[in-house]
Amino acid sequence: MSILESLITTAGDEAKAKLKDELLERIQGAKAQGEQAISELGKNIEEWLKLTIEDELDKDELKALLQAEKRKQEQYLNTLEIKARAQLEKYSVQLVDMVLDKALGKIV
Amino acid sequence: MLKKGLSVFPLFLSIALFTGCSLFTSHYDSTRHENFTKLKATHVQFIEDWSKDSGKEWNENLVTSYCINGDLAFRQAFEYAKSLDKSDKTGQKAVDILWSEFKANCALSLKKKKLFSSVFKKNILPTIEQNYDYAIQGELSRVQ
Repeated sequence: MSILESLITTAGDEAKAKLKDELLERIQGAKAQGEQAISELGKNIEEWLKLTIEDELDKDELKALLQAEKRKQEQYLNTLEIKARAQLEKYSVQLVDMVLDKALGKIV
Repeated sequence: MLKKGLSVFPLFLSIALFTGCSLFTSHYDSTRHENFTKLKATHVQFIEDWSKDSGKEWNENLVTSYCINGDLAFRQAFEYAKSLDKSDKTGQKAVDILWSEFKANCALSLKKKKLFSSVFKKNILPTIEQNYDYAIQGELSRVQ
Protein backbone atom coordinates (compact mmCIF):
# COMPACT_ATOMS: atom_id res chain seq x y z
CA MET A 1 0.00 0.00 0.00
CA SER A 2 1.47 3.37 -1.04
CA ILE A 3 1.75 6.32 1.36
CA LEU A 4 -0.98 8.14 -0.57
CA GLU A 5 -3.25 5.09 -0.51
CA SER A 6 -2.99 4.73 3.25
CA LEU A 7 -3.51 8.48 3.74
CA ILE A 8 -6.67 8.74 1.69
CA THR A 9 -8.03 5.49 3.09
CA THR A 10 -8.13 7.12 6.51
CA ALA A 11 -8.98 10.66 5.37
CA GLY A 12 -12.58 10.38 4.15
CA ASP A 13 -15.89 8.56 4.50
CA GLU A 14 -17.15 5.51 2.63
CA ALA A 15 -19.32 7.52 0.23
CA LYS A 16 -16.14 8.72 -1.44
CA ALA A 17 -14.56 5.28 -1.61
CA LYS A 18 -15.46 4.64 -5.25
CA LEU A 19 -14.01 7.97 -6.39
CA LYS A 20 -10.84 7.35 -4.39
CA ASP A 21 -10.45 3.87 -5.88
CA GLU A 22 -10.81 5.24 -9.40
CA LEU A 23 -8.34 8.04 -8.68
CA LEU A 24 -5.80 5.61 -7.24
CA GLU A 25 -6.21 3.31 -10.21
CA ARG A 26 -5.60 6.18 -12.64
CA ILE A 27 -2.57 7.48 -10.75
CA GLN A 28 -1.04 3.99 -10.60
CA GLY A 29 -1.83 3.55 -14.30
CA ALA A 30 -0.12 6.86 -15.19
CA LYS A 31 2.95 6.00 -13.08
CA ALA A 32 3.29 2.68 -14.87
CA GLN A 33 3.24 4.27 -18.34
CA GLY A 34 6.34 3.88 -20.49
CA GLU A 35 6.01 7.48 -21.71
CA GLN A 36 8.16 9.52 -19.31
CA ALA A 37 5.94 12.62 -19.40
CA ILE A 38 2.90 10.60 -18.29
CA SER A 39 4.68 8.58 -15.60
CA GLU A 40 6.07 11.84 -14.16
CA LEU A 41 2.56 13.28 -14.18
CA GLY A 42 1.33 10.32 -12.08
CA LYS A 43 4.18 10.71 -9.59
CA ASN A 44 3.65 14.48 -9.32
CA ILE A 45 -0.08 14.20 -8.74
CA GLU A 46 0.45 11.55 -6.07
CA GLU A 47 3.00 13.76 -4.30
CA TRP A 48 0.78 16.88 -4.48
CA LEU A 49 -2.27 15.05 -3.13
CA LYS A 50 -0.15 13.71 -0.27
CA LEU A 51 1.15 17.24 0.52
CA THR A 52 -2.42 18.62 0.44
CA ILE A 53 -3.73 15.92 2.79
CA GLU A 54 -0.81 16.71 5.11
CA ASP A 55 -1.68 20.47 4.91
CA GLU A 56 1.65 21.35 3.32
CA LEU A 57 -0.29 22.74 0.33
CA ASP A 58 -3.73 24.39 0.34
CA LYS A 59 -6.45 23.66 -2.23
CA ASP A 60 -5.70 26.77 -4.30
CA GLU A 61 -2.05 25.74 -4.55
CA LEU A 62 -3.00 22.18 -5.49
CA LYS A 63 -5.32 23.52 -8.18
CA ALA A 64 -2.53 25.80 -9.48
CA LEU A 65 -0.10 22.87 -9.61
CA LEU A 66 -2.57 20.69 -11.51
CA GLN A 67 -3.34 23.47 -14.00
CA ALA A 68 0.39 24.11 -14.46
CA GLU A 69 0.85 20.41 -15.20
CA LYS A 70 -2.02 20.51 -17.72
CA ARG A 71 -0.44 23.49 -19.49
CA LYS A 72 2.91 21.71 -19.56
CA GLN A 73 1.27 18.71 -21.25
CA GLU A 74 -0.38 21.07 -23.80
CA GLN A 75 3.04 22.54 -24.53
CA TYR A 76 4.51 19.06 -24.94
CA LEU A 77 1.84 18.21 -27.55
CA ASN A 78 2.40 21.53 -29.36
CA THR A 79 6.13 20.78 -29.50
CA LEU A 80 5.44 17.30 -30.90
CA GLU A 81 3.32 18.92 -33.62
CA ILE A 82 6.12 21.37 -34.51
CA LYS A 83 8.63 18.52 -34.70
CA ALA A 84 6.36 16.45 -36.94
CA ARG A 85 5.69 19.36 -39.32
CA ALA A 86 9.38 20.33 -39.51
CA GLN A 87 10.34 16.70 -40.15
CA LEU A 88 7.81 16.48 -42.97
CA GLU A 89 9.18 19.61 -44.60
CA LYS A 90 12.78 18.41 -44.31
CA TYR A 91 11.94 15.09 -46.00
CA SER A 92 9.89 16.73 -48.76
CA VAL A 93 12.48 19.38 -49.58
CA GLN A 94 15.35 16.88 -49.44
CA LEU A 95 13.54 14.53 -51.81
CA VAL A 96 12.74 17.27 -54.34
CA ASP A 97 16.33 18.59 -54.14
CA MET A 98 17.68 15.08 -54.66
CA VAL A 99 15.62 14.61 -57.81
CA LEU A 100 16.57 18.08 -59.11
CA ASP A 101 20.27 17.96 -58.27
CA LYS A 102 21.21 14.32 -58.70
CA ALA A 103 18.59 12.12 -60.34
CA LEU A 104 17.50 14.41 -63.17
CA GLY A 105 19.59 13.68 -66.24
CA LYS A 106 21.04 10.49 -64.82
CA ILE A 107 18.03 8.30 -64.14
CA VAL A 108 15.44 10.14 -66.24
CA MET B 1 11.82 0.10 -39.33
CA LEU B 2 13.39 1.86 -42.33
CA LYS B 3 11.04 0.05 -44.70
CA LYS B 4 8.06 1.11 -42.61
CA GLY B 5 9.28 4.73 -42.72
CA LEU B 6 9.77 4.59 -46.48
CA SER B 7 6.32 3.12 -47.04
CA VAL B 8 4.65 5.92 -45.06
CA PHE B 9 6.75 8.68 -46.61
CA PRO B 10 4.98 8.87 -50.02
CA LEU B 11 1.70 9.29 -48.16
CA PHE B 12 3.07 12.25 -46.18
CA LEU B 13 4.57 13.75 -49.33
CA SER B 14 1.30 13.37 -51.24
CA ILE B 15 -0.63 15.01 -48.42
CA ALA B 16 1.88 17.86 -48.29
CA LEU B 17 1.69 18.46 -52.04
CA PHE B 18 -2.10 18.25 -52.23
CA THR B 19 -2.61 20.59 -49.30
CA GLY B 20 -0.29 23.21 -50.73
CA CYS B 21 2.29 22.51 -48.03
CA SER B 22 -0.11 23.69 -45.29
CA LEU B 23 1.23 20.85 -43.17
CA PHE B 24 4.52 22.72 -42.83
CA THR B 25 5.27 25.17 -40.04
CA SER B 26 7.20 28.43 -39.84
CA HIS B 27 10.97 28.21 -39.76
CA TYR B 28 13.30 28.79 -36.81
CA ASP B 29 13.41 32.40 -35.66
CA SER B 30 16.11 33.65 -33.30
CA THR B 31 13.92 36.44 -31.86
CA ARG B 32 11.12 34.00 -31.04
CA HIS B 33 13.74 31.75 -29.41
CA GLU B 34 15.13 34.68 -27.43
CA ASN B 35 11.62 35.67 -26.34
CA PHE B 36 11.10 32.23 -24.77
CA THR B 37 14.34 32.50 -22.77
CA LYS B 38 13.54 36.05 -21.58
CA LEU B 39 9.97 35.12 -20.60
CA LYS B 40 11.28 32.09 -18.71
CA ALA B 41 13.63 34.32 -16.69
CA THR B 42 10.81 36.80 -15.98
CA HIS B 43 8.43 34.04 -14.87
CA VAL B 44 10.91 32.13 -12.69
CA GLN B 45 11.99 35.37 -11.03
CA PHE B 46 8.36 36.19 -10.25
CA ILE B 47 7.88 32.86 -8.43
CA GLU B 48 11.21 33.12 -6.59
CA ASP B 49 10.74 36.75 -5.56
CA TRP B 50 7.21 36.26 -4.22
CA SER B 51 7.81 33.05 -2.26
CA LYS B 52 8.87 32.54 1.34
CA ASP B 53 12.66 32.46 1.91
CA SER B 54 13.07 35.21 -0.72
CA GLY B 55 13.71 37.68 2.08
CA LYS B 56 10.88 39.90 0.78
CA GLU B 57 7.57 40.89 2.25
CA TRP B 58 4.51 40.52 0.02
CA ASN B 59 3.56 43.89 -1.46
CA GLU B 60 0.41 44.31 -3.53
CA ASN B 61 1.69 47.31 -5.50
CA LEU B 62 4.96 45.61 -6.42
CA VAL B 63 3.28 42.32 -7.34
CA THR B 64 0.70 44.16 -9.45
CA SER B 65 3.43 46.17 -11.16
CA TYR B 66 5.47 43.02 -11.90
CA CYS B 67 2.36 41.33 -13.32
CA ILE B 68 1.49 44.31 -15.56
CA ASN B 69 5.04 44.51 -16.92
CA GLY B 70 5.18 40.73 -17.37
CA ASP B 71 1.83 40.76 -19.16
CA LEU B 72 3.13 43.35 -21.62
CA ALA B 73 6.22 41.23 -22.35
CA PHE B 74 4.01 38.20 -23.05
CA ARG B 75 1.69 40.28 -25.25
CA GLN B 76 4.64 41.51 -27.32
CA ALA B 77 6.00 37.96 -27.69
CA PHE B 78 2.54 36.68 -28.65
CA GLU B 79 2.07 39.33 -31.35
CA TYR B 80 5.56 38.67 -32.69
CA ALA B 81 4.92 34.90 -32.88
CA LYS B 82 1.53 35.53 -34.47
CA SER B 83 3.14 37.65 -37.20
CA LEU B 84 5.37 34.73 -38.23
CA ASP B 85 2.89 31.87 -37.85
CA LYS B 86 1.58 29.77 -40.70
CA SER B 87 -1.91 28.28 -40.51
CA ASP B 88 -0.87 25.78 -37.81
CA LYS B 89 -0.44 28.66 -35.29
CA THR B 90 2.04 26.62 -33.25
CA GLY B 91 4.21 29.68 -32.49
CA GLN B 92 1.47 31.77 -30.94
CA LYS B 93 0.05 28.72 -29.15
CA ALA B 94 3.41 28.07 -27.46
CA VAL B 95 3.47 31.66 -26.11
CA ASP B 96 -0.22 31.59 -25.21
CA ILE B 97 0.21 28.49 -23.00
CA LEU B 98 3.09 30.15 -21.12
CA TRP B 99 1.19 33.42 -20.85
CA SER B 100 -1.83 31.64 -19.32
CA GLU B 101 0.45 30.13 -16.70
CA PHE B 102 1.96 33.52 -15.83
CA LYS B 103 -1.48 35.11 -15.54
CA ALA B 104 -2.67 32.25 -13.30
CA ASN B 105 0.35 32.63 -11.01
CA CYS B 106 -0.20 36.40 -10.77
CA ALA B 107 -3.89 35.86 -9.99
CA LEU B 108 -3.04 33.35 -7.25
CA SER B 109 -0.53 35.69 -5.60
CA LEU B 110 -3.02 38.57 -5.67
CA LYS B 111 -5.80 36.33 -4.34
CA LYS B 112 -3.72 34.95 -1.44
CA LYS B 113 -2.17 38.35 -0.68
CA LYS B 114 0.86 36.64 0.79
CA LEU B 115 4.07 34.96 -0.29
CA PHE B 116 3.85 31.52 -1.91
CA SER B 117 4.90 28.73 0.45
CA SER B 118 8.31 27.13 -0.01
CA VAL B 119 6.61 23.79 -0.72
CA PHE B 120 4.53 25.39 -3.49
CA LYS B 121 7.59 27.07 -5.00
CA LYS B 122 9.59 23.84 -4.90
CA ASN B 123 6.82 21.94 -6.67
CA ILE B 124 5.69 24.46 -9.28
CA LEU B 125 9.06 25.68 -10.53
CA PRO B 126 10.13 22.41 -12.23
CA THR B 127 6.75 22.25 -14.01
CA ILE B 128 7.03 25.86 -15.22
CA GLU B 129 10.64 25.44 -16.31
CA GLN B 130 9.82 22.25 -18.20
CA ASN B 131 6.99 24.06 -19.95
CA TYR B 132 9.45 26.69 -21.26
CA ASP B 133 11.98 24.00 -22.12
CA TYR B 134 9.39 22.23 -24.28
CA ALA B 135 8.63 25.55 -26.04
CA ILE B 136 12.36 26.11 -26.65
CA GLN B 137 12.78 22.53 -27.91
CA GLY B 138 9.93 23.16 -30.32
CA GLU B 139 11.61 26.31 -31.65
CA LEU B 140 14.95 24.54 -32.05
CA SER B 141 13.34 21.66 -33.95
CA ARG B 142 11.96 23.98 -36.65
CA VAL B 143 13.66 24.01 -40.04
CA GLN B 144 16.70 26.28 -39.78
